[in-house]
Amino acid sequence: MWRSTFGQVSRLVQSSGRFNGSRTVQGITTSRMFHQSLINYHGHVHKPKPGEELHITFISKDGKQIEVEAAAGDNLMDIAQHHGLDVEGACGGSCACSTCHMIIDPEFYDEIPEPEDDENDMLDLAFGLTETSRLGCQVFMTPELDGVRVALPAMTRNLQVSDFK
Amino acid sequence: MRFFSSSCRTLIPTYKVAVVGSGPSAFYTAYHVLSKKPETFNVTVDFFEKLPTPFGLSRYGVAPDHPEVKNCEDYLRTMMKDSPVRFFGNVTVGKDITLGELEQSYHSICLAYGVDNDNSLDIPGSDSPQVIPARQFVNWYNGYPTDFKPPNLEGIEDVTIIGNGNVALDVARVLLAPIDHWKPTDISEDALEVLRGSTVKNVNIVARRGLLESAFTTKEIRELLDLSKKGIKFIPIEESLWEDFVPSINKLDRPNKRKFTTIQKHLNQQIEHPQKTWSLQYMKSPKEFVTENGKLAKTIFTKNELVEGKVVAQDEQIEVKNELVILSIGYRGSSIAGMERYFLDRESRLQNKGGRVKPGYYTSGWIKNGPKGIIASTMMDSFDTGFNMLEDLNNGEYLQGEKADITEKLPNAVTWDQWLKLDDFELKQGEAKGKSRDKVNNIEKMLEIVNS
Repeated sequence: MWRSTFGQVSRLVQSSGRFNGSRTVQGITTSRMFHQSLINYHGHVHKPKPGEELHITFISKDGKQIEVEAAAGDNLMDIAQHHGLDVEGACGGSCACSTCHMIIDPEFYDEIPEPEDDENDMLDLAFGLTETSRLGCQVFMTPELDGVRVALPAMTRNLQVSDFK
Repeated sequence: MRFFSSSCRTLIPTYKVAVVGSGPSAFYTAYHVLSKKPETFNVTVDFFEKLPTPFGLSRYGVAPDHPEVKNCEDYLRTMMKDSPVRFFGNVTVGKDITLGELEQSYHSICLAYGVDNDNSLDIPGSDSPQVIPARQFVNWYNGYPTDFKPPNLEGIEDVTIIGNGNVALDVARVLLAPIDHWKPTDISEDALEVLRGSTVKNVNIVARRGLLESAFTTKEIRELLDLSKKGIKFIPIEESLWEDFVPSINKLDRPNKRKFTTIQKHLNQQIEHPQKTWSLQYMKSPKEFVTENGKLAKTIFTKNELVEGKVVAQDEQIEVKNELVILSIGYRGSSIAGMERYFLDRESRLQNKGGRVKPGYYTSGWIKNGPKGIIASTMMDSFDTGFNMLEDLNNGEYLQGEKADITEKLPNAVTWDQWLKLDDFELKQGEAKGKSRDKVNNIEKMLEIVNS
């Protein structure tokens, strides 16, 4: 049941491509080298010790599954950015915006300490909020989260209507 | 393949992009264009900012006690270090340089200059010097270079704020929170001085519509409610309105449910001798600001009813004592010389589709969408403009012709390195005063420092 809900969420994420922030110009691959050098200011991740690697599968905005290894204590926003995934952190990970909104695998959701008020306040402003939404900057890896799957939603607020006025 | 592409790097075209403005929408658009451009062309970006200082509403709109929100400025700071980007401050497009001149120097132009005016309220007494627009008040406490000075707060007890968006709540917090809350922030020294002498006892935040239409968000209302810990008391919402509303709270969507549950928890704040009080009032429209003996004395409101979502004024009137009124009823944008036919006056924004205004011209931020929205939504929406600009560049749709360099036309422009001098000055002054930053709020002084 939980798993199927999560499947639906990721399908939803996959099918809403038109307005997500990660579009590429048609027929052209983006310049990843340049991209990484530009946003290299969230390098706060640690290298996991051998044997203590925690596994995360990110599901990107275009539906790709990216498996990464992470160390306990690092947060999902930093980890995703470190691996070149399209996650923004407008407030630099200080829980003051909703740009690092992520959807957590329901099977693992309860393993994460409940969000504080300030995180919930920001989640309220996130586009496409789900039951298992969290801010990536507030979710810290623990051994209990080994194997978690995390979907990166299309984060635009719904501004299409105004575009066609 | 890699060898081939790098050896041909000099042969691929470079497109020059001008961005008018340097606030969040301006730098998020540039960030997207620079980080998502294909390998088949290069992009350089020049920002044109009318002030000598960058960051727009992040510097001058975000409240001084929300420094974490200002972290968004790091996007521009990083770009200035790592990317082919230039900053030209102290340059007003349309005055120091025309759009026509920009066309001769750039392939694409993005207008992200924001809004610079207020909605007006045309009722008797609204020209009183004690009735002031929230934008002016915000500019003043945020150290924006302006001649505007609000009335001295000494002798003022009751303040009415018209409108209940987050700007209204920021203003209320400035008036209500104890001085120690503001001292370590980058609030202007002027404002700190006036707040020290403040005798404000009560702030009423008045909206013309109902509870459900409250424009503030949970974070901002929570901050006001939490001032109870400092002896600042929330006066409960009018009982008849609240009683009718309570049963519907559980049926609301999550953001609204949390917003009103937060208020519900604070309805019975037990504070014996409150330092100050404040209230949220609903269903009232100001009808007249009444001056007695040369000073603002009260506001006369008409009570409203909501009929099919529309505000309908009733006969009943009420009077509220106030010596100062702050109007927080929305901002207004304006055109820029050369774009008049694309400016939608009623919506206070430039006509556009996905940020495209006309060939070669784009828009982002408040002047694209009208003055509303938070930084997170502005970011995503600016990415959309950036994407469309890239798509057009890729398809050869841009302002054609040989491109000249603009630099020599702008002898008085403030460069990024010059701004860093001012930045450094402000930080050091701030440190000496125990503040995060001490902003210079005078253009002449700013220019003196950057040219030193």
